[in-house]
Parts: sequence; structure tokens; C-alpha cells
Amino acid sequence: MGEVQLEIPARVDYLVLARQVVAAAAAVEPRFRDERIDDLRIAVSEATTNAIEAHADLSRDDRILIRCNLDDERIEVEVMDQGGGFDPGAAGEAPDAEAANRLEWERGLGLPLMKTLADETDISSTEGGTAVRLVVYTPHARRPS
Amino acid sequence: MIGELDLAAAPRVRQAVLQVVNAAAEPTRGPRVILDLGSVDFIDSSGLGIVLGAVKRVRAADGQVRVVAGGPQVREVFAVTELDQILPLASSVDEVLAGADHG
Repeated sequence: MGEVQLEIPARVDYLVLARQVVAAAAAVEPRFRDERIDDLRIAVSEATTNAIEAHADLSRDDRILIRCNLDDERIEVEVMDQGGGFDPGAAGEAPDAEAANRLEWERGLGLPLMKTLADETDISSTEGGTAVRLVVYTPHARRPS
Repeated sequence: MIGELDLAAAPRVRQAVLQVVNAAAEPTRGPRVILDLGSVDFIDSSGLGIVLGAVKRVRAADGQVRVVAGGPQVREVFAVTELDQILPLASSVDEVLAGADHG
């Protein structure tokens, strides 16, 4: 198993670096199709965006840790911040596409995107920070039941 | 719009979009605006928020917005969030203009 760690300041200008590093780590395993790496880039972008926003009221010099674990069946990415935490259940779900108020739902699209695009999404949040764990499997991987 | 539409790009792009939308809405009601994402390589929920904000503003002025999406990544994000059902994506600016000629 290979591990890659990236520590970034909680600043938006580091978002692109976070996406690039995770995508490059996933690309080490040739079994990941480009579409799945794109899915992971989006999910990581959402998790890192949330982490940066969690630090908005804190020092921007605080660090966000992004850890990738890769083997031939899956890539696991953890995004850990030291922000104030949030209640993942309180975000709610976007209205149906047909609903009249669907256009009002400008924010809050990040969590649904993560959950749809990654094969597994776990969020644990405390007052000391939030950890988001994203897993994407290679095709034909033996997934835990 | 060009490049990666994320939280880092959001303030700059939001301001530019609002300038265009306000300029179009000012002289007459019912502006027609094309948001060309053809050169956008990456969009996430922060970018979607900008698009939705622009659409709301134009519709509030009785206008119409068409979104041009080029790459597969942009199309996938619209599909996953089902926003392509309320904002049908055109494949080029020419396609939108050709459609406008006919109706």
C-alpha cells in the first residue's frame, strides 16, 4: 500500500494543489479509469472546500491534512481540518430537480456530490475538527459487504 | 469562462458574471444571457453556486439563460446534481444562437 500525505494552509489558493495531488496519486494505479479519477477530484475538492470554510473564522495558517492510501483495489482519501466542526445530518438534501425552489439551493450541493461520486463517504465531526473519508474502488475490486 | 471554477475562482467569476448580467438586464427587461463554460476544465459545487446565482438574477429580470458546457467533467457535475434537468446544456454558443434564430 502506498501512502501520500499533503499538508496545506487553510486557504483557497491551495485547492487546486489538493485536487492535483490526489488525482496524481490515484493515477499511479492504472486500473482507475479517468472518469473515476475525475469523480474523486470533485469529491476531494468538496471536502477540502468545506475544510477551508471551516477555518474561515480561524487562523488561515492552520493546516489541513490530506492523506491518500492506495492499493490495487482502492484509494482512500482522508481530509482532516481543525475547524469548529458541523452537523453533517443538518445540511439536508437538495429539493428534487422538478421542485420550484430547486434554484434556491445554491449552497449545500457539496455533500450530496461527495456522497454520489465516492463509493464510500464517512464524515466525523467534533468541535476539534472534521475528518472526511472518501473511498473509490477500482473496477472488479472485492468490496466490503 | 476559462479554467477551474472552484471556491478560489468564485469571487472573481461571480463579480464578472454579475456585471454582465446587470448590464444585460439594465436597458430592457427580458435579457438573454449565454454562460459559456466551454473552456472550463473543472467545476464543483462552488462553481455551480455561481451559475445558479446568475440564472436566478436573469430570471428575476424576466430573462433567459442558456448554459454551454463543453467537457465531460462539467456535464457530469450537472448530471449528478440533476441541474441539467432544469438548465439544459447546449454544446456550443453557435448552437444556442442558431436556436435563437428559429424562435
